[in-house]
Amino acid sequence: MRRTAVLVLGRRQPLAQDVLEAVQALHGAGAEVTVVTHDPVAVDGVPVIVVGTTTTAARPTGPKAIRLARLAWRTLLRRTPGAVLARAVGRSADSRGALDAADVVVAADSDAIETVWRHARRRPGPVVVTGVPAGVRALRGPGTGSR
Amino acid sequence: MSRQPHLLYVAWAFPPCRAAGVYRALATVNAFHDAGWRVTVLTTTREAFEQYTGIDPSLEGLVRPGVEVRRLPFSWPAQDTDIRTYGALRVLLPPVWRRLRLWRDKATFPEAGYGPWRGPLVAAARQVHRDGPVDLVVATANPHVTFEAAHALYTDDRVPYVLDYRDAWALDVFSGRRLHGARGREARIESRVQRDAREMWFVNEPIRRWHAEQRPQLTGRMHVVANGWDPDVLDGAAAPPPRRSGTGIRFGYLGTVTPKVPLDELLEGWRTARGSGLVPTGSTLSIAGYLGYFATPRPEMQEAIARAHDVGVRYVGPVAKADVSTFYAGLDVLVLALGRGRYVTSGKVFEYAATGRPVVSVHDPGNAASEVLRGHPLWYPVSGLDAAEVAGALGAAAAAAATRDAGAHEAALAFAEPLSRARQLEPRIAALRGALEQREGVA
Repeated sequence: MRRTAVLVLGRRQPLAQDVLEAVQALHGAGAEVTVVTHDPVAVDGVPVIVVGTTTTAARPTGPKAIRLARLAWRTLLRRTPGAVLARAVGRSADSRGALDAADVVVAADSDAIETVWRHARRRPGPVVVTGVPAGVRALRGPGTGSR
Repeated sequence: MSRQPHLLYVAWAFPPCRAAGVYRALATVNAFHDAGWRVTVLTTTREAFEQYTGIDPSLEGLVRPGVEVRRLPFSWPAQDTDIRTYGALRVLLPPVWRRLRLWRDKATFPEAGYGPWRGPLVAAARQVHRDGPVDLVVATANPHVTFEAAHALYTDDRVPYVLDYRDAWALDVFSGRRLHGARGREARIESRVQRDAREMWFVNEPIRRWHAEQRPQLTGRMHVVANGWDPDVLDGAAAPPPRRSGTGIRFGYLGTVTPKVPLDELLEGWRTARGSGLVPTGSTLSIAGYLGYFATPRPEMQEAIARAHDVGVRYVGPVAKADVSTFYAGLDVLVLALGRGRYVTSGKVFEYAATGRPVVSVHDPGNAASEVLRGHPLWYPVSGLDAAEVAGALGAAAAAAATRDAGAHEAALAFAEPLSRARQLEPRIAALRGALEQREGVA
């Protein structure tokens, strides 16, 4: 029986080629893959759940002190990309359903970690990892999917 | 010396670890074993390599039977991929967590990630010495925490030791600058372990000279032990490439693509060469190896390679050591892309030379690898890293590959003969054995 994996993309405007490679790697390890992303991405033959489209985030500019202050402010107000994605996923019934059904949940990048971490606190069963290679290892290793 | 001498070899990276430094460790251990030594290796677990660096299972079969390998647990929280182990601080305030983690790592030994390994490593070295007296310790770095195990046995029992620098601790081999202050904690520890070392090995003369300038009183103990190439790995790769029906030339790069490798410059030069016809239509550039130091590939590198797909560039992924020979055999020209710096060599440069194929050097001309290849009859270096210059070198190598000059191929193989790994290690092993016998005689 094929296992299920959810790939969570935290990165804004992900490249379709990258996502396709990641999906193929997980698929090659024996998983049916669903992608959860904040920004739309077109990947043929793979269910993609889009939880919200962002306006392009302006690249941080200015002196280091100002940038650090802005980061601290965003962190305090929970407006970091990771926090925004986690909230959006929490509001999306489709993405919650996909995550609940997954044997392995993979955070594709650092901005996806908070989403996957919050899911892990809610559901003790699935393997939750960061990075596609770790996801592939989890799928190939024993004991995956003890939901 | 009447009994078999006992070597303790200390290395974080050892088979099946796939990290670049593992080949030197493997070759050193096998060379000591072949020279009649009893060899015990202290390293970390297979699970640690699986999780943090990736593994090459084919390497395990290359360790000589009879070599005892003791594996110590190692955890590297900063590289941990299991999100369930993450605390709230790490997830919600990652920069703060990273700072605190670094501080904890360096509490016992000033090396990020590896510092906490100091205690278990020293204890294990002492255990090995209790189980069977050690006559010599070779500790290879990085990580430099391995030096502590060697120094502990010296302090306890005056066991002589060798510091094997695959890189450098105080010197940034890319920029040539000092990495930490001359009176800092790292410098004090390095000064102590160097002072008591029997020998120090460096991979090239520029790095040895730099260290000799720092401590002139120790110059006599500092030696170059270059990486060299391994005949059992390259079996079959030295045959000339088979004749093919198409016009395209098969270029290839094999090695870890670190952030220092001029990947963008190489791809830009390749695109120019293909566009201008310097490299024939249908030619391909295969990039093999890990993208980055760790098991997780660096996304920006994946993207850069994917963007050049339209001009025949493809990423073939890591190549197991057992398959290296096959990979080379399927290529016409090898591309040596290295980071900038006069202290930078690589292990690959020796392998490349030993294939007898044209080699295109896409790196700073002042790089130490240039000294290895100077005089190679099929060497095509660049004088700068702009696209036109890289394209020109690729074109010249393509022309050489197309002529298929058997004489040049033979000359290239002859050039590589003195660069074999055995020729680098044998003199030092003999010298160390001689010193041990002299010591026993005196005792």
